[in-house]
This record gives sequence, structure tokens and C-alpha cells, in this order.
Amino acid sequence: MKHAVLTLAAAAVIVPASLHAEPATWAQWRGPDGQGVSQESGLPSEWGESAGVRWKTPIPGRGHSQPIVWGDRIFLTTDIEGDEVAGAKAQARHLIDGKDFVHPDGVGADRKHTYEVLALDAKSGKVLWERVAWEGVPYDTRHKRGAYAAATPVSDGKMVWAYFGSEGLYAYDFDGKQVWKAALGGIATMGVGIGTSPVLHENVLIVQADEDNGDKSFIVGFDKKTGKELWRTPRAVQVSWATPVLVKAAGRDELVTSGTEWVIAYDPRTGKELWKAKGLDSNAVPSPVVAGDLVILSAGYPAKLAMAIRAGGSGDVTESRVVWKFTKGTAYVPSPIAYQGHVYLVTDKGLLTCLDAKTGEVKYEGGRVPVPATFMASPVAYDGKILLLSEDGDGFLIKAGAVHEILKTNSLKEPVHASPAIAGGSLYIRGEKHLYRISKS
Amino acid sequence: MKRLASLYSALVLAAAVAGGGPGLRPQPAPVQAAEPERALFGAYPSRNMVSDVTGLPTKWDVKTGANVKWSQPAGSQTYAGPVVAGGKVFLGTNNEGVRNPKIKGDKGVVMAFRASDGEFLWQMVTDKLPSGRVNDWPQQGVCSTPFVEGNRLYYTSNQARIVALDTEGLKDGKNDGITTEKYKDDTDGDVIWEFDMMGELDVFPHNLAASSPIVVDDLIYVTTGNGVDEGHVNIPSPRAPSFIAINKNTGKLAWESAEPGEHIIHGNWSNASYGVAKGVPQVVFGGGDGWVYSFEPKTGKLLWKFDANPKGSVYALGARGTKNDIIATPVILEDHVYIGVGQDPEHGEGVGNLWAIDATQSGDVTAKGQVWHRGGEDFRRTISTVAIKDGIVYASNLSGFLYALDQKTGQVLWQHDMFAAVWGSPFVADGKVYLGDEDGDVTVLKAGRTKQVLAEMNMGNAVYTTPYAKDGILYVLSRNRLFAIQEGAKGAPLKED
Repeated sequence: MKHAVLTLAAAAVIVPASLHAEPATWAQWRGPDGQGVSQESGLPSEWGESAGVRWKTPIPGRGHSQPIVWGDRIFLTTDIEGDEVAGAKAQARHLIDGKDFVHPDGVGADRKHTYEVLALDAKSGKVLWERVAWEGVPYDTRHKRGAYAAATPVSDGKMVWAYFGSEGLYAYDFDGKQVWKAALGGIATMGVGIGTSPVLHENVLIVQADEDNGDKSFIVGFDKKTGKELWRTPRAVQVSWATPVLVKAAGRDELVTSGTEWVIAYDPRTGKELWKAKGLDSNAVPSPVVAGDLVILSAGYPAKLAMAIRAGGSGDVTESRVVWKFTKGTAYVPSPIAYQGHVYLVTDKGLLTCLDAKTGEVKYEGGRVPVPATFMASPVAYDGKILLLSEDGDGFLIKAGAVHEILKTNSLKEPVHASPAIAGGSLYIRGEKHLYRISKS
Repeated sequence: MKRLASLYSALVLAAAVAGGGPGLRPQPAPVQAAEPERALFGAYPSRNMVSDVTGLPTKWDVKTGANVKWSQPAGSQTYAGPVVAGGKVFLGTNNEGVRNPKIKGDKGVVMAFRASDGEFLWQMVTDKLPSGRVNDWPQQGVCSTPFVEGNRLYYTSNQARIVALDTEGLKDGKNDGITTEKYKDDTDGDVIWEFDMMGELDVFPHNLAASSPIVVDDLIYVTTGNGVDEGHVNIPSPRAPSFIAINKNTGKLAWESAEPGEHIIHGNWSNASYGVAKGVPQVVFGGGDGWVYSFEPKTGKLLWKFDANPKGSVYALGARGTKNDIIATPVILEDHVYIGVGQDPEHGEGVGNLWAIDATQSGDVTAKGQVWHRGGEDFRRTISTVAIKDGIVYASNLSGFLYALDQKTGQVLWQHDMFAAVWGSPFVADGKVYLGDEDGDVTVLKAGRTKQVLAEMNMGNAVYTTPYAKDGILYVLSRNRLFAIQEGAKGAPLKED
């Protein structure tokens, strides 16, 4: 009897809280739902090189891909540049109006590169494993301001998938064992590299593979466990760099892709086209965001445009479901963010335009950061704040809402080109040379 | 070797023109009005971004056509012009507009339109350089705003040549001057002469030679575009000139200067202006080394120079760099030179400096020639040229700020935020200030000591250029379209591209 009472008492006391909690995750490009918004509280609002930095781990090579987090694991990709290879040059051939085009800012296809996937321990920042996914001379050049390790990996808690464009798609388990790999063939992107990240829906891993003039563009779905190709749909759009976004509408899941000629929504299970609308006309670089059943797409070059399309339609919805348009304030690179009823467009210089997400009505324009700056990272939001990370390493916290207010500028000493991850009470900021874990002191 | 050859032929030609050459009769001087009609980037010869044209519109709407007299497509990227003279409007662009279906592919293009109704007249098409992007960047077209004087148009082509054209083109059925043009339909341009800066002077233009010429008496003044190589470290031709004067009749070099030499930071993309300060005529250039240089116009003798980067400035990529070069055009007015520093817009925003310099001194006037200065936090990198009217200096910068400053002290009277990058210059005419930005907005403010925004119109595409006024019409040039805006006009609504 005594024994039974003791056991019961022990059982009531000992069970740790963590066994019942979900692991903190930011498991794909722009985190949960691909929106860049964290629902966590207790995140830091102040940091610097000597304040709030839990750890700072050197990362080899060059990468602009966003780190992803699953509980105690962080994954990211990088590219380590090697020696020039005599006679090596881009295999990809780009034609504009039938004439050969070599992008004036293209670099990298004259030398060996080593693409790696790294796993780090979130608690200590230590690198747990480093795997070479691919090595060789890349199919094509990348933009001198860009990186070959540009696509953000995605994870489901058991596996992690890393995408490197023409150099392939790689699946690992959490211990670093390569489970499968797939080659998508040479995907020419005008010599400036890729931007799109893979997206996971149930058991399907999806990659948007748009190419040069659009003759060979497609979107493909793989079985996430085995790498078997489940479906592939051709796309009548030119090269793009945006990552598609999932939205729930009309009782189903839709995967919406940005594009120059067309914005197209697909059934993520089958790759079947659900609806389409006339595209952005400009380069589809920023990723779409979602507010309710509105999908908001943007582009900034050569002309600026943001537009909201009501999801859930069918066929060509250009005349019927485009709810609003806005022709200013967008960026060439950074994606906008939808947060608490507003859509924030951001320019490459950090100027914010705040619009009502439902109507596109302007709440404010020209919200500036206090110093001249350039931005490649996309904004994230948490705790009533928007965070913009500049290429100089400054992190500007801006009050969310219909009035622009800079709350704080937090500076790290290295350039930041990657978007941050937010998980487990921390910000994970990838600088040019280090990954930082920033927490409340 | 090349230079000796050109000097020799210049002497022969000079002799021929003077009547002393064998078999060549002296040409009569061209019959012209007392003062030929001129058009250029800025006012003549100060480059001040003002005009005395009146009756200009305050509001217009390109979507409905309200107050739009006519509009015409240009190429896909347009940075040069518009300028209007002799009933024609000229601009520089690329060949994406494909005016002539027989001429396809990437080219540099100068287009001419009839001012009265926008009818396309002719285009001067230049092939891209075989050396490619390092000297002649893809899709940029012609970035030099032409200087028009009577029936002559002078500009810098994408091949880094100073070119003299007949403003009638080949449309008048006569091929004047040289007859070796590559394209010779009646919608093509008519070249009188060309001066090859690369071939004759070993100039190595970085990415593009783009100087907008100014002509005073018989000399054309341009910056050559000489700059760094692709690695952005070495200057392949440090002894090649940054500044030259070319004879407008003969197309031959009159003088040259390589003052910036090995100190060129990036390229040489500023322009020259001309003025007389305390009786001393001078031609003033912005240099690729961040210095302002003033020369005796006829001889090229250096009069004074001024370092437009404060002591301790450091050149670094990114917003943290504090040293800049000069891309704006100096304005010489009332014995002062006004100029701001900046960088290639691709380098992003950053701190800059705006100067008022005393143009009456000589030698290195960096220390003693500074009249007033705005810099650091108070001014950002700029490629805009100032407009000065009624004691107010209007200055804009790449970050999108427009300032009205007291001309004597540089104090801020008011400022306006355009919310987008500004590459062009403020244009002051008819009591108004006009400024375009990268969002495609043109803002119209009241000129004066108190700020008043009168209107803001969107042109449908980025406006990287500066408006031009003539005969009550305001010409506004966006990235891909030229508009003639006139009070009371009713044009066709602009369809979405």
C-alpha cells in the first residue's frame, strides 16, 4: 500500500512540461505558413554584438538562405567557393530575341563550388553535422550580389530538404543521412541564380522551377519520403524567384505562385491548375503573402506593382477576383508582410507603405528607417513589431499599425542578407560570416 | 601614335578651312540667326535647372489624357533628355521600342519627334561596343542628354564617341558630313562627324560614357567616362583624359585634362558647365575623383580645384561609405559653383555633401573656397543638379528628399519627402518646382520660401529624367514614354502597358 501511494505521488510530480509541448519551429521560408509572422511572446527587442547574443557560430562559405528551426535543431545551407577550373564556364545558354545573352552581373561558373547542408544545436550553437550535398562547377552563373545557397530548406521534424536549383534537391534525416536526391535538370535563370524555396504540403514537396523565357518552366511535386515525382505541370511564365504560398479558400488548400505573365494557383496534391490571373509584368522576386482569403503579390522591377487576388476562384479570374492594386512602394527583392490587418510593402531602401490588407487603402507611405540603408532580407513580425534587417547589419524595429514609428535600432557588426528565423524565444540572424542566436538577456 | 595622327589631320583641316590648303575652297560660314536656338540639360550655359517659360500646367492625368497634348513610347530604359529646339524634341534611350523593325537587338538610340504633334521623325542608332558590358552596359541605351544648337545636335554615344548630328536626320534627303553611317533609311540619323574617345585618347569608359555636352563658342566640353576596370580596382588608362574640349566644326580635339588621373573612384559621369566669375570665364567639371575642376575655356589651363569630399571621408561599399564621386552637374551662378556628391545609384543610399563654392579664387581652394556646406546626416548622396531661383537653391538626393535652401547660407527653408529614389533634378519654372521619382510620381510644389505642395501625378512608370519646358508645354519623360503636357489639352487616355 505504501508503495502504491509513493508511486502515484511520484507520477504526479515528475512529468516534465516539455513532453507535452510542441517543439518551437520556424521550419520553412518565412516560417509558419510562409508569412514571416511569429506568434511567440518574450522575444528580444534589444540586442548588439555584446548584448543579447546567446551564441555566434561561424558559418563557412556564402549563403543567403534563411536558417530553419525545429526544436533544438537548426538547418541551413551554404556554398563554399573553390578554385577556378581552367576553361570552365556556364553551360546554360540564354537567348533574348534569338540572340545570346550573358548577364553582365553573372559570376561563379568558372570555378568549383561545394554546396553544404549544416545542422546546428540550437542550445549551444555548435555545428552537429555538415554534409556535402553537391560539388562541381555550377550549371550557370549567379548574380554577383547573390548566392548559390539562396533557397531556404524545409523540414517536417523528421527530415529536412535542401534545394540548389540546377544542382538538385536533397533530402536528409535529422542525423545527416542522405535519404534521397533528385535532379531537376538544368534550370536557366538568366544567369542570376535562384531564389525560390521548396514548399511542403502534407506528403508532397513542391518546387517552382521557372526558366528563362518560359519555354521550359514547370512546377513539380515529389513524395517527400522517397523523392518519387508525383506530378509535374508546365507553366507558361518566364523565370521567377518567388516562393509559392499556401492559402485556404473555398474549402480547399491552394498553392499560389507569383509570375510575370500569370499568377497561378494549383492544387498542391495533384499540381492541377485551379485559377490564374494576369501577372505582375515585372520580375516575380518577392514572395506572395496572405491576408484572410486574399493573396497579395508584388514586384518592383522594372515597374512597381502590388495586387490582391481573392483565392478560391476558378479559371481566369483577372476580371473577377483582383480586389485591389497599388503601383508604388514595392521592392525589387524583399517580400512584403501581412500583419494584424495591414499589408506592409517595403522598398529595397527600407521605406514602408502600410495598406489596409482588405481594401489596399493607404494608411501611410514613406515610413523611413533613420539612416541610409539597403535591404535584401524580407521583413518579419512579432509582438506588435516589424523587423527590418539591413545589409549593414542594422535591425530596425518598427511599431506595427497605421502610424509609422521606429522603436529601436539594433546593430550587429556584419552585413545581413538573409531573412531571420524566429523560434523558442529567439531570433536567428544569419550574418555574412556568423549565425547569431539572439534572446532576451 | 594615334594622337599624333589626329593632330596632323587637324592641322591639315584647319589649313584647308582657312583657305590655304591645296584644292579646297574656304567654306562660307553657315548662315544663322544672331543667336541660334539652343537646348541642353539645364539652362545655358550655367546648367541651372530653371527656365523662364510661363503658362505651364500644374496638374495633369496620363490615365485620362487630361492636359496631355500627346505622348510617344521611347525604349524600355530612358535616362537622357528631353530637350526641345527647332520644333523638335530629342531624347536618348535604348532600342526596346523597336521604331524600325529592320533594326533589332540592343542599341543606343537618340530619338527625334516633332514638338507640335509628337510625330516620330528619326532615330540615330548605334551598335553596342564589342568589349561589352565593361564599357557599354546592356540595355542602357544613350544616357547623354543632347546639346542642340541651330541645326546641330551633339551627344556622347554609347560607343564613347562625341557625335555631331544634323537635326533634320536623313529625313531631309541629304546625307550631310560623313556618309559612312551604318543605318541609312530616311528615318535614321545623319552624322556630320564623330570623335572616338577610346580610339583617339585611350579612354576606358567604365560601363558607359554618358556626358551631356555643353557648347560655348566653338568648343564642346564633355567628361570622357574614363574609369576603373571590371574588377573596380585598377584604372586601365590613368593618363587618358577625364575632361576634353572638341572643336564643334571640325570634330577635333582642342584640349584635354587627366587631372583626376589615378584617383578616379569609379567612373566619370558628370558634365561641364560654363560661367564667368568676377570677369574670369571658366568651364567647370565634376570629377570622378570627387573633386570639382575649373579651367580656362579656350586653353584648358587649370584655374582652381576643390575637394568635394570632407577630410577623413572613406570610400566603402554600402551605406557606411562616406567618400563619393561626382555625378551631378555643377551649376555656376553669381560667382559661385553649386554641386553635390554621390555614387552610382546601384551602390545604394548613403551620406553625401552639398557645396556652395567661391569660383573667384585660384589653385586648390578646398579650404578657402567653401561658402557653405550641407553634409553627413544633413544631406545624402545625390546625382541631382540644383535649381536656383530668387535666392533659393532647390536640391534633391537619391534618398528622395527635396530641399529648399537659402542660397546665401545653405540653411533649410523647407523640405519634402518624395518617398522614393530621385535620380533626376528639380526643375523650376513658372513659379513652380517639378520633381520626378522612381515611383513614377511627379510632384509639383510652389517655388518660394514656404512649402506648398500643389499636385502629385503618377506617370505610370519611373521618372529618372528632368522635365523640360518650351512654349508653354512641359515635357516629361518616364522610363519608357515621352509626354507633352499642356494646360487645356485633351489627349488619348493611356492604356495599361
